[in-house]
Amino acid sequence: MASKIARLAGSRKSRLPAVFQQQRVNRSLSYSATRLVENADSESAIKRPQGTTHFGFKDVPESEKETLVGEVFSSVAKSYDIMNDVMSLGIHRLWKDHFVSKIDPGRRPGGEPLSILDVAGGTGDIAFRMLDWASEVHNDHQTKVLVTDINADMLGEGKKRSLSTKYADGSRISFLVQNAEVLDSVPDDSQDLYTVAFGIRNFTNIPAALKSAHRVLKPGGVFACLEFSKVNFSLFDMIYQQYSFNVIPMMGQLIAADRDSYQYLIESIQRFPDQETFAQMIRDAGFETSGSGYENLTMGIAAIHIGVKV
Amino acid sequence: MSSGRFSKAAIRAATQLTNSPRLYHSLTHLPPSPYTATQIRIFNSALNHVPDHGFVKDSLVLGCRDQGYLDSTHAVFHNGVFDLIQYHLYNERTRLASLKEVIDLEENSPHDKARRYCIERLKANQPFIERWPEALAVMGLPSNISSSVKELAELSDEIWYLSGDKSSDFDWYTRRASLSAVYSTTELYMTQDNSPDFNNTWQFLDRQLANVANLKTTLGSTSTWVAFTGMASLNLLKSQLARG
Ligand SMILES: C[S@@+](CC[C@H](N)C(=O)[O-])C[C@H]1O[C@@H](n2cnc3c(N)ncnc32)[C@H](O)[C@@H]1O
Repeated sequence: MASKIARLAGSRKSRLPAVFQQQRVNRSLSYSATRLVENADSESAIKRPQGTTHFGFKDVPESEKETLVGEVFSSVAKSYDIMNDVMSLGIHRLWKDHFVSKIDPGRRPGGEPLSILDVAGGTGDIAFRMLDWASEVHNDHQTKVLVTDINADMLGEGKKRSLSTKYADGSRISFLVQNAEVLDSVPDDSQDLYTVAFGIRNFTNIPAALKSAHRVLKPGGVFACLEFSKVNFSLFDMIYQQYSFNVIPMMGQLIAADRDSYQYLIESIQRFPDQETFAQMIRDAGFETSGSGYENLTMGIAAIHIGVKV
Repeated sequence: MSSGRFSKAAIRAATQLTNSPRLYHSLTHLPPSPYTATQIRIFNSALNHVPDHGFVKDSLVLGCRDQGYLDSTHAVFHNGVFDLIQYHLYNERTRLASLKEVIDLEENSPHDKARRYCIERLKANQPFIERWPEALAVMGLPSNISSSVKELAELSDEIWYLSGDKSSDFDWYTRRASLSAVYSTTELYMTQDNSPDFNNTWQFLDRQLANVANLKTTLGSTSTWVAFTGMASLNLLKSQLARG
């Protein structure tokens, strides 16, 4: 794996331009036409046959999606970090840093250490950042994060990763397989903070996941979500769609030789509701929001949604 | 495709036209509060902490705590302490309408009424006047400046409207610009004023208002001018603060 990544890093410079050129010539026109049709039909959620859900742009039976999603992330567990780089134009790390500084987790003078639940936490990217923030900014060495994910492989990577950090003893970070829609091992009213980064668009039943989030949070607890979103500037949107539909799957192929999985990742972004709709779903689950309820990052390629349980 | 873009631009232009010069008529169509009851409680508590802690996130966190919420709850406010500042600005601007009955009785000319509304509004900064430069610095951040200038314009519109000045000497833009300039410079002056009961500030206000008539000739009809003045004074202030 490592050698594959190294090869890719070495090959980026020389191969990317060729990829771009090939895309321009062969695919861009037909793909953009397809996109327009699909956009016009984006309400298809309503028309979808009962008991099915979206898997990218394919409708699949709900019972199958969980397995399919599991396969996607198993097949990319080790290289998805690179994939994140590609999909976010290399800035997902900045977004994650901003996300963590915005929720500003940590024990404050006269306050308590926090219990944080990181859902769809994967390899723990957000969890480690939050612990670092609490330690370095608030001098808080007690706040804990429980990282949950539906995929044990991802959590395994995270656990491995934790062994080379100052959290190796496991007193501040733990890993648990949990379906975000249920969270059956997480007690009611137990968490100060619920974070989900680049995870929620993969859930089969988003309202159920929001309900569970509401259940496990203490009153005053905060739901914070970082997710790819809808670009709010049409020219840029067109360019980004071209990029994501044509270039990213190619990159995915280079990275993991698994074009279908990456196509899924991209299409799941396209199918995710826009900022306003998602903010309303959060309110419908019982959360209160402030202002619009969200903040756009990089013209809306991603957005942070925040809700509070009152 | 392009027709979609055009219509969006057209819509924007149209709303701008209908929104100017008055955003709403305060006495008849006050829009519903943009804040929930929870948010109002948290903000009010947070403002009580400003004299001790300043316009910083700590005050917001303490406000959440006072209201029985968690320290983490502050994250719901996307713009951090700027949300607290905007709440104060909104609250004190919309409060002015409730003074109309009294001020109509006690003051005669539109000029005197406008002066009185300015004083009443400025007095609302008194509880944390030493901290107000912090608020101005936050308002002057690049990401906040357009909201800040818009709020200032709305305050100015509100004061002219409540004062009942129907004179046609000024167009709306000139009036908005001149009162905005008077208000923001006086507000800045007040933060440095140690005179008893802010007497020097009220005198400063009187001199500024007396200048308004002259401004008419030197001003275009321009809110850019206001933005510029606002920014210039904020930047000046920031450099002063930086120098300590
Ligand atoms: C793109 S990764 C994000 C990982 C991490 N939060 C980050 O930002 O780096 C998406 C994760 O969502 C997880 N996931 C998908 N469906 C899920 C579900 N129903 N419940 C919990 N996790 C799920 C996947 O296993 C995967 O690890």
